[in-house]
Amino acid sequence: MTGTTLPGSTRRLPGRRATRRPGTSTTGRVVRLVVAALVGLAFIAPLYWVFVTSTLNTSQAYSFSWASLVPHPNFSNYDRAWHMAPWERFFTNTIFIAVCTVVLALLTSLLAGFAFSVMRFRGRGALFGLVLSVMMVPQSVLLIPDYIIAQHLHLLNTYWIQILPFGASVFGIFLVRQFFLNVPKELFEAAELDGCGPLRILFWVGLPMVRPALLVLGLNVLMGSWNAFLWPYVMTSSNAVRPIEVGLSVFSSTNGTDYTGLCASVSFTTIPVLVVFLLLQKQFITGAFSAAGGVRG
Amino acid sequence: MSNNTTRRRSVKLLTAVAALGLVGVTAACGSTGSGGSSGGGGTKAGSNGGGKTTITFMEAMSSGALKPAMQAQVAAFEKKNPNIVVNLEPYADYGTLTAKLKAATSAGDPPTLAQVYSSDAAAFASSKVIMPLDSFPNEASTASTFYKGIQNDLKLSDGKTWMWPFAKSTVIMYYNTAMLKSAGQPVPTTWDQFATVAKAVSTKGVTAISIDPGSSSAPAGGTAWFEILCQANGTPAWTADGKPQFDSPAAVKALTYLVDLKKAGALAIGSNYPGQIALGAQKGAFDISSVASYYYNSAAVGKKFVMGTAALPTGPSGPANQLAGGNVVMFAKASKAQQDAAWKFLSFMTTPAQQAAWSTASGYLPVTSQALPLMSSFLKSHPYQKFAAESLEWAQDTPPYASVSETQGDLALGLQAALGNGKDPAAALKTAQANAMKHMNGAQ
Repeated sequence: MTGTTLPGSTRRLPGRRATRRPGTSTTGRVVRLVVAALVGLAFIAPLYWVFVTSTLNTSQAYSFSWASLVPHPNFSNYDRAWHMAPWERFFTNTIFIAVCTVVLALLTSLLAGFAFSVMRFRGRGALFGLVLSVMMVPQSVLLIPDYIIAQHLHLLNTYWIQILPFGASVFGIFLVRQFFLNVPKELFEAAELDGCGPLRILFWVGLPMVRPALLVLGLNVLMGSWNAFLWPYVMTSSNAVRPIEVGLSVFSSTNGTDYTGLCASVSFTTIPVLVVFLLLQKQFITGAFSAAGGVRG
Repeated sequence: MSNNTTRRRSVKLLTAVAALGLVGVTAACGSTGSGGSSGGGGTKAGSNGGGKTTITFMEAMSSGALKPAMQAQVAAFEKKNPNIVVNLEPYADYGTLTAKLKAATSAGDPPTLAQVYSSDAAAFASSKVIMPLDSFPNEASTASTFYKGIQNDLKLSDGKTWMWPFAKSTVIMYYNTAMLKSAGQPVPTTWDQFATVAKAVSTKGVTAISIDPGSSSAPAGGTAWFEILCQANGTPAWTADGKPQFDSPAAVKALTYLVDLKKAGALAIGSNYPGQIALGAQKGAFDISSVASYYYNSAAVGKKFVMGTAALPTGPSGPANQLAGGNVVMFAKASKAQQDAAWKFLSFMTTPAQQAAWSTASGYLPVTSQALPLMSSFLKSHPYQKFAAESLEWAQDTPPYASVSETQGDLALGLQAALGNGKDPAAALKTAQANAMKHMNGAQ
């Protein structure tokens, strides 16, 4: 055992001075904890304020006193907000639109990312540049032309118009491509030698390698779909197909905003997204780190 | 073993993807909103199998007391006209409504009726997508019963009636009665007095008035107040033919007045109805905003103090006020049956009885004085409605030219520069005027 160091062992190597990792001193730990607590507070404070406001009456909500920072045992705003819009319908619509969009976006990103990284064909670079150029055009500029196209395709006021345009994600294609570029080519070549076709190589060899990227992408697309407002607001006109975010606009008007009702509805519409994140947070963070630093070989 | 497990997982994943995709396709195909494929919605579904005529009305009465008030109007109309169906398409604000409207008209799919500002009406009229209302029965006789300011507000520069009044309001002054009383200050009746009172009450964490000038794309109440001050100083912000005069002595005086208030700690700028928020939080003494804000201001104040309402103070050139709220326009693409039905609806909504009901429920002002006797009990509890309604006789809207909304954005930026970034008022307005002229020349 002498002279060997097991992976992860804390034993000192002979002849080396003891060095302390930065941030492991008591002061360092305290500083880290304080910074982490402050950052955590900064993120949780708005959610807490929304929840507290949802338990106040309008007059209390406008007080900005210490008392208005403490939740009250008053859930009448929830009852009122729930009856102001067909939330069950909005929930169903939102979940359906989000799931379909995520599935489509994952599929298209996987296929296109694989093609742009692993497959070789003429004009690959130019085509990829063309795909990336879509990111340069702000969506608001295209709103009216997109509306006209949707009108001609008879897609207005349907689920389709909320799913199809987001079923292909340029960011997703880019992300998956970057992951595939870090996968050793020998793996694909070996699979090819074993007689696998491109699709089999993609789904049986490539897919497991880019799972972190797909997870990050899936969550991003899910959040984007869940939070979409302007697009569905303009492209739809019926509550039968509209999502939650559009439903929330019922609390705003040209003369003021019903903040207590809005906060109550924001509270109950945010819960599903929070649950998804909490369930998948480990994978999400792992995926985000992998996406930032590439796949470890 | 491991390979088999991976393979089974992959097959399961693929099956799940395929199944979800199939469900998505099936559901999306079968799930279309009530408007069919028509997002703008109305002209294609003009008449249904039962011989009913359907009209679509895109409006901005989507929230609070406005939504049920609007629905009650439609229910009363449909009860009286069982062969007409009115589909309401509510939007939270005029910005979104206008964006949707422009998209729908560009796609050739406008609604039958929509609420618009006069500058947008001018743009739609020049594109021939809306139609004048002069040819409809009793148009002139009905319009003659409206307040003079409303009558003037319905016409474009060609002298024809292109718009019909709906949710109209003027600006009033809300104030904290307790705060003024404890400071020993009267309710101001002139703008000079307002400045004195505002400075006097701005102590102990109170800033008398908070305003939002808005942005270039969405000028807000602070810009409207500035325009009223220009008018009260003798020169409106635009000439009657829509030319900006933001650098007039009256305009410089108005902005200097606001900047002085800010320097004295009596004025703050914010966003999202800051006057309403500050008044409700007892951090502000005044809110200068539309009479239609009463519902929200009242809820914000609650029982914390008695909220007072008063007519706007006057300036050297007398009283000045601005019409707020959009008018209704009718789209030319609607069928003849829809146009007739839409006119019936518009006429119904402006009868004295319906105006009284609408004003009582929504807080907007009746467009005809004939409605006032029908809402006497409401006027007793809401006395501001009477003086505000009377101001409809002389209040003015911004000139009905397409360029006005764009140049108003330049003005809002000028106000932000002076009030937010400390730029000299005269210099800020000179820049705003130069930018506005560029926009005007570009538009021409």
